[in-house]
Amino acid sequence: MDSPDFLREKHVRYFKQCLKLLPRPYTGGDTNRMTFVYFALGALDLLGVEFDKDERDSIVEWIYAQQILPDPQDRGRVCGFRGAPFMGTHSRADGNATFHPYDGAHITMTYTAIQCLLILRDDLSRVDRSAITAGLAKLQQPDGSFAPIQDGMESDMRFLYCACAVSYMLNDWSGVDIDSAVRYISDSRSYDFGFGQGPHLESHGGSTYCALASLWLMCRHDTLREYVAATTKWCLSLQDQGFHGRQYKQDDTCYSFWIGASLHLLSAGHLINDTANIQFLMTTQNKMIGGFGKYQTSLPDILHSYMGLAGLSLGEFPGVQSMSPALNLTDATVKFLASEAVTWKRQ
Amino acid sequence: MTPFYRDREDWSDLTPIPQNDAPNAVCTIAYDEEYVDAMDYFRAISMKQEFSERALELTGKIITFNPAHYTIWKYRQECLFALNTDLDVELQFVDEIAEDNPKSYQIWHHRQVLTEHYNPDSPLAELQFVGRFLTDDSKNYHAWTYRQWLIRRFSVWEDELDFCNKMVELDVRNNSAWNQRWFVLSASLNGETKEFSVTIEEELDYALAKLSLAPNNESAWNYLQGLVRLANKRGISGVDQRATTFAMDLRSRGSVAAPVHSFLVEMLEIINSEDAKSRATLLEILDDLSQKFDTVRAKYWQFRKQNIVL
Repeated sequence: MDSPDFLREKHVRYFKQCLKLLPRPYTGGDTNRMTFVYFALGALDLLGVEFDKDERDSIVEWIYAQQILPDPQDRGRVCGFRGAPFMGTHSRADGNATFHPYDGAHITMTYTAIQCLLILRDDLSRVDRSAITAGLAKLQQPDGSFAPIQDGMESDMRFLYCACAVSYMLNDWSGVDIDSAVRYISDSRSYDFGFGQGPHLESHGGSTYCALASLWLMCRHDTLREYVAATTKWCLSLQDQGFHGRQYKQDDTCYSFWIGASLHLLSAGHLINDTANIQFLMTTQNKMIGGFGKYQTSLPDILHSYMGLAGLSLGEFPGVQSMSPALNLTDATVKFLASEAVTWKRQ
Repeated sequence: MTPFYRDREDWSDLTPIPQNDAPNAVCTIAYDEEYVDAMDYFRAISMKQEFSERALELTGKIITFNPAHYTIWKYRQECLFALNTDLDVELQFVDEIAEDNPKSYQIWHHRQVLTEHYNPDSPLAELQFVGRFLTDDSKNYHAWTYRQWLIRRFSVWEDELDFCNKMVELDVRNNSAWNQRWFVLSASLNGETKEFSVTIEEELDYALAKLSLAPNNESAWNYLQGLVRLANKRGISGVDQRATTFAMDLRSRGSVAAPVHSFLVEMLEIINSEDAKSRATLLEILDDLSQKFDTVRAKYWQFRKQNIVL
């Protein structure tokens, strides 16, 4: 049934290896290790790999050790998850935690940590919902966008999306001023009907995905109605063989997901030239070690490897599980999120 | 000199704090030993919140291994401000790092924090730096984002259209430069640009001139379409007609460029209901697009045609 060109077993091996140890160039992602865990687990989920119980429990414990819980001394920290214990701090199951003044949660790590827990079928019983949503509220800016950490970083569409995805998965929107977030998204719509990272910035495939997925998660996609046709056209204009993120840039594996998912969110997935897109992804697939590179000539990396599979999933490629574009999770995992298995559905 | 802080006399007062990741850690990274050593001492010095020359030096070392480490940049800023370090000295360091890591969000954010803090009388030096940077890396999203921030923050609009002209001369298909023109135009129409101003009509002339030289330029057609929509919204007449006539003329002279026809589809669709002749042209163009000029999007153009025929 699988296409002979698709190297499923090599991909499984590649992601299992990533889950253990990443080579030195990943040092630049030391603060974002949770995103790497998500790419590896998410990819294995797309490949239909199941985890045995011990492996699952062990990863779940590591993820919970990155949760920043309310501080008994109330030093005003934003709660959520850190990307890794890079400040030497850990949280323990008994609620005790080591403290470091420069330790803190990051919105993208909170987003990917919850996704990982869902992929591993954890019931989220140890996720501190109210602490996380209170943290989100502190991160929203007067213009409606979100900053990723308490202070000292830029705010834009990426982090607004993370806030929406977290709120959706926690089924609690008390941390987001939805009207203000929707206004930021509308203000970031460009004259060509793509979306930039913020107002006046150039339309970009990544920020367009974040904008559209956020509106969908907030149930505010009705605000798009008069622009759907034009945004659809802009997205489709970025296909050469695969997709690129801006006009006159080179096709790049990850945009098969960013633009592909945007088109699915616009109910226009059927207008994609899937044949050409899949042909492109087959050329960025690494035949030696599995995974996907950014371009045909690039070595594979964990982000593009995940995105390559996600792009194939949207194209209903045989052997890759179907997915929900707004949450960037398999349909099976989203079904688990909607089930009674999740703690607060039972309360 | 030893590359390790653990061997240095002047650091012996600190007890290093290891990352101490759990035995079940996932996605561990095969760090360089020097990075591990430097991070061990960073955890220790930042625990004490010591903002000193040696702490500044330490952040510099870690940044060369991991320029995306936002905690290190934050701590570096606190050291710089506590020590009142000379801005030029710091910018020299940042320029070196930026050269090897043009796409690091943190470096550009750091530049913005420095500009905010040192608050120069004029942003000219920074604008020149970004200008030089964009000459080499003309679509760098971070650089354009920072440039827009500088222009707004210091309200310096006068020379920006010239800068856009220069960038479009270098590459007429640079969509980032076209977007920057739109940024200037919107600010002017909103009355943000003080004595400097630019109009929709002037921009129409500019776009048509560029399209005469290179008709197969999607960026310029998107810009033109934006102008047409804006003119219609503001009740400025004649813009849509001039643009449509221009595109129809290219078609009648045998242009096979997809963006020309894609633009015509939008223009003709607005008038198609009232006019049988333009409806016939529209259907012909849609067939040309799906069968000849833009076959990768054949499904899309057929879909557009169905919507009209129905």
